Amino acid sequence: MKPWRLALIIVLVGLLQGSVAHRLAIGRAVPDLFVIAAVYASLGLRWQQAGLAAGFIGLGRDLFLDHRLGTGAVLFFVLGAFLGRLRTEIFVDHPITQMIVTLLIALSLAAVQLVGVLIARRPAAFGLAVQAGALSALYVAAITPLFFKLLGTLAPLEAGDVR
Amino acid sequence: MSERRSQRPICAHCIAFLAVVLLLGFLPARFTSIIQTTFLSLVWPAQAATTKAARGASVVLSGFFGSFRSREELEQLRRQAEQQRALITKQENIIRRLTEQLRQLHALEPFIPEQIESVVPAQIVSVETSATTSAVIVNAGSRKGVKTGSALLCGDVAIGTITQVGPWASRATLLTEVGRSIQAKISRTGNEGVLEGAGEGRFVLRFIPREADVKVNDSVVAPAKSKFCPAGVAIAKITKVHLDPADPSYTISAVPMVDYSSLEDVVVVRRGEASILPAEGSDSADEL
Repeated sequence: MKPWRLALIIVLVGLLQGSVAHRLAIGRAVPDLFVIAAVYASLGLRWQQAGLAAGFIGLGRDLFLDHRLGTGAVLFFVLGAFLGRLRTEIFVDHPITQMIVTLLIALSLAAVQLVGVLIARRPAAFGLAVQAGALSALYVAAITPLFFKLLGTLAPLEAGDVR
Repeated sequence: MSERRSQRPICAHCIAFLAVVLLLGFLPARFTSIIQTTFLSLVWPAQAATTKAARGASVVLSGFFGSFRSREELEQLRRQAEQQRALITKQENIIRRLTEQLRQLHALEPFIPEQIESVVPAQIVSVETSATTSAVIVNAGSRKGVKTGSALLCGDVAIGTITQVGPWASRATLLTEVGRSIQAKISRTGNEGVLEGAGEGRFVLRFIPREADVKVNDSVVAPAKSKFCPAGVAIAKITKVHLDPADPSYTISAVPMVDYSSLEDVVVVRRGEASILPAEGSDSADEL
């Protein structure tokens, strides 16, 4: 994947996350478009490239969403590298596979966020974070094929990158 | 062999990337805040344009789907609009009366402490919502005089506080964010308590003693000793009152006075230190 395409994905997803995501929210479920972008990039690249691409997407998420700088980047790097390794073992083109992978990644991120809530000692937020994390993960998984199509049109993975 | 060699630079990139982001993670919050606010200031024009486009699309879509509404629904909406219009007229009259009373008070007492240091109009550029965070980005920063800790108001309703300030844009945390708490009082009775954000556009008002006369639809406002916004500014409306027999105080549910999902034009208000008003007849006295 060319760096400018990755930058395009990060900026586009950041802008959509800030302007559209809250309008797409259903109750407690708010879609995290950065997760979909990271899974999209990771499933099409070798593990090192996948880790880097997902890491940069995570860094973009930290910058756009006011998270502790670097945490999302490291987390996404690890998950991206893992998915990059996994992609040869699974049929990544199938929408159901994409949805399941995104669901698992979103749930892992929600679990890490829960740890953050515990560390920050915000007990009032814990129950809400559990519910919202699970519901948002399901929501993100449900809209994954649609966003994969959108990202595929805007920033298609090159033949050399894939498989 | 050659493939392994070609992968080596990528591995080096991975290590360099991880080193940089780990370094960023250990930087003091002051520096990371500067990085984030600078980034924010760079992207806000694009963010503002996207938000406007999304808002426009939302209006068009709601208009399109609205055309399919049944006649009963439209009739109901018309009735609601009439009620709202009547309410606005009533509130306008109240404001007019209060303004007149304020003018009379100023004439009587020239030593009323000045509460507002600066008012900066701004627009919401983007909204950040997740399970535990609720924040908005506004298109006014330090260049317009915005400072950390200022209150964010929509009309005359307090909705958040400025937490990060960049040159051209700032980030404000909404009052409904989980775990946030501010001092507040019930306007009608004057009882003071702590208003906690409960997420999803809800509040919980605590420490209102059981002797207090609390009713649904009472408004919750900023008290006189509020540190972040001028006294008397509306914040929330009570929706549910619960009193546990064993509890010495009420547990009160409240919702914001304005719908946070449709915020557009806002003002950043900075509360100043108490000062003496100029004598009646001067320009500043008129402005107030």
